[in-house]
Amino acid sequence: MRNRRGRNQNRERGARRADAVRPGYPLTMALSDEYVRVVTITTDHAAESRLVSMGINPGALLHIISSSATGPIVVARDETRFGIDRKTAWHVRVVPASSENHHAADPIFCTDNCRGCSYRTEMMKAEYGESITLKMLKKGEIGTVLSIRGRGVTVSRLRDMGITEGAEVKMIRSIQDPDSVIVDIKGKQMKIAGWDALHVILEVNR
Amino acid sequence: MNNSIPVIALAGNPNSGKTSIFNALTGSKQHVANYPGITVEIKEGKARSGEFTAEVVDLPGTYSLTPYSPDEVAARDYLLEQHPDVVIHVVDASNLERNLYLTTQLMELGVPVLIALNMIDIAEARGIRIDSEALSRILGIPVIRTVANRGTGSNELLYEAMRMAMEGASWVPVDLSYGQLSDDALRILKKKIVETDLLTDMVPPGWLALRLLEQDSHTINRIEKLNSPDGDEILNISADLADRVFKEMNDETEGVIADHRYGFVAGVVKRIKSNSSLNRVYLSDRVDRFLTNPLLGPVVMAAVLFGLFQFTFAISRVPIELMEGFFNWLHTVAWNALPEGLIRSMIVSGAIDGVGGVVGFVPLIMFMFFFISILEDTGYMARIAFLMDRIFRKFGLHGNSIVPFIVSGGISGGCAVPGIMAARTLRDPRERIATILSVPFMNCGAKLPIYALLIAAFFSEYEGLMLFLLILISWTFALLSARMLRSTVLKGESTSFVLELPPYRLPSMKSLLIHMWERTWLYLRKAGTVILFASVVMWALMTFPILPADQASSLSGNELTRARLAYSIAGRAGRAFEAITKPLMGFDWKTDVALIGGFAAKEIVVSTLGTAYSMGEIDVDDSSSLSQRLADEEGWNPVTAFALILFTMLYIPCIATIAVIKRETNSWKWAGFSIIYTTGAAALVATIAYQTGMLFR
Repeated sequence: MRNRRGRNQNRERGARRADAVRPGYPLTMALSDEYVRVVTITTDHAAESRLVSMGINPGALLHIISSSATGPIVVARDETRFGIDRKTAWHVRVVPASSENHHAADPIFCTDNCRGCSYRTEMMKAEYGESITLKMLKKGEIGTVLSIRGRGVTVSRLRDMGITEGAEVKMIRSIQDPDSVIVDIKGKQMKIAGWDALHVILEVNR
Repeated sequence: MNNSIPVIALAGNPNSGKTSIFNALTGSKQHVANYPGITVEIKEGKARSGEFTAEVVDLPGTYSLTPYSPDEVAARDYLLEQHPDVVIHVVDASNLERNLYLTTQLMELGVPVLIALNMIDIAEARGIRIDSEALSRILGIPVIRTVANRGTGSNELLYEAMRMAMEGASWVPVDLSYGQLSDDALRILKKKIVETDLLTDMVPPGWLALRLLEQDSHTINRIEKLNSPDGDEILNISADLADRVFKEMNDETEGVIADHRYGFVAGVVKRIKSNSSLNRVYLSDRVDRFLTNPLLGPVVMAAVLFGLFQFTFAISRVPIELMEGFFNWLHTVAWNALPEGLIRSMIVSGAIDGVGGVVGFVPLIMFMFFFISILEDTGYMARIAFLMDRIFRKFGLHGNSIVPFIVSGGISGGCAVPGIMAARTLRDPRERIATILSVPFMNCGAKLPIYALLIAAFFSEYEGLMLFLLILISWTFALLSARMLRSTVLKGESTSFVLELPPYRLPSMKSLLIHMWERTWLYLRKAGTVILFASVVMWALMTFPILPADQASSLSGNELTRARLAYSIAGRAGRAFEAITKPLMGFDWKTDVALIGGFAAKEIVVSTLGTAYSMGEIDVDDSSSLSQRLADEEGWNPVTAFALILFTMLYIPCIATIAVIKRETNSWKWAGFSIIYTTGAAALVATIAYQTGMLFR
């Protein structure tokens, strides 16, 4: 085989992207009747290309028609409804959006050298600032909690720990094994499981 | 292109109304349903505009020119290899942004393209305004507004397409910008491709460069097959460039390029579209919250299907009795009118009773098709697929497998041949083959008469319930067999499932009746040709060689007819099998003969039983129906009947199905496997059912 390090070689079926840490939370966590914007897609190459060509592309505004704890998810893109199976939906990463703010930035005027390319970064910035998940907070950085995603137990567990909207969270360090982060909230240090940390959306001024 | 007739291809997303436009242009009546993926074959027709004729080609729906599944590969290869004179891109006006993504790819390819802005009425009803002139100006492509199912705009569309074709519109690839870095990379690649003249006779160099930068595996494979040093060099360059873009942009090239296409589209849409209403939750969505609910949905689905069967049986009872009465009358009239002899036996026992057995169930088939058309046209079928995905996944199939299953008779009354072809929408070959091999277990239209006959004879009190049970049984077997195949010979991961859910629509009576009639007509035509012929052949097999006179003279009445049948070719073959089937499954040799005939077409099982049991008849005026005769026949009881139903449900697919399995899997191995596998399963299941049943009798 020739040394061709395109996407087909790099990413096996089902494997994550090399840069798995990306903003957004899985589409499976979005609630019914919510508006979200797709930030990135982390499935295998073929499925991603399929989703993108169907209109579930990074930058697309989706309206969640129905979402439940099990079973596939129904979303609206423009006037089309799509049923997406849970496994695939988990790989579609989204951020909250509003229905009014349809394409805040005109992508046609996108300057090419923005990081991560293309209009979507600019567009996301314009709408949400630098929102990231708690998992991605760097050592020593402080972020303000914008929202907590997910449902039921996860959210209430995080709330009980003092992670509420508007609270300031400082990253002490992150641990590889077991996957978790140690953060400072209102002067108290606590350990949060990596999976839970993915549910917390923060605003950071870098 | 001036001498031959121009070729117009229809391309567009699934469910955007391509087939409706095709029908409007060519005046044909291809099947249109309210769910995506119904067209998997390339269909051709002729369209006339004034004195000019053009060939119109309907391509399978495709979301992009980066093909995902075999039907999309067919669409793309057609565009690349056949070079149509004009491509009409059918765009669903309600979903402009998503549909224009394909337009950008068509523009990159450079094929002369014309946009049919379809279903503009629905878009306008939703408060979406589209400035089609501005769209045309920005893209530099003619845009025609159409409402295909009402035929609005189809004349202008045809005229414009003809004009473009006649003028010999040339291929002009459009260069979009994909960002500085990608554009630089594309320039390098394009220069190299032009220098080495790689595939330039087939595709524009710019397009090839783009595909290579995207690292499209189809294109890479194609160039690798050329085995030229130039091709290899270009592949290496493109891999390096793609890698560079990947590192710079922190995203793979295909993603980067797709983002820019969408960026371009979003810019265009912003200028030409305005939404007056933001109320996006329609009645359709509210209904969907109930019908696609993971708990409530399946309950509603079961209720709908069960109700459908009950109703179909109830409504078709009287017409079926009338049909039976008619054939009995015909039987008696022909019997009395014709002189005794072989001719009378052939016409009455062979033709009339054979065909009558099959045609008698036309009312049932007709109503079944009518109700299935309702499910299709309202859009509920897509919800069934959606609900079934979770179940399918557990059995190693894909949500898209549901379309093949339903087309083959998942709700009863389909055909496995188009069903197997519908499996082309599946991307993964393993999932596809598992689907193809499980689909023949479904209850196709040809099996229905057998069920109806035996249900009427032995289970007449529970008609709807019985059919519902049979549907469940066939699904159970199909799914279990899929699971078994997927965990043994066809192991592999499941692929992702994204299904377009069309909005609910009120079906028009006209289209329902057309669908019903078309399918019923196919059934009738088969009964009048193949089944008639086969019935007569089966009659001959059951008559010749004639019992020698010296043996016949010692017998009389029932004994004589039985001895005559037993002496015939079919009788001997049946007797050979009876030794196995009688103790195991309770099938007598007449049934065995019918089952052998069923290999040609499943309807023949019923027609042969009709012939076999009418030949044994002595009393001329006995005009009881076949189901009554079976019910009275010694050796037949509900257990045998049930075992026979199971056997016919599962055993060997008919010749046409075997042929299409061979074609679609491209191997005799799978076709042969299917024959052995299904017949083995049928024998096993029928034996278990019969033996268990007899224990409790």
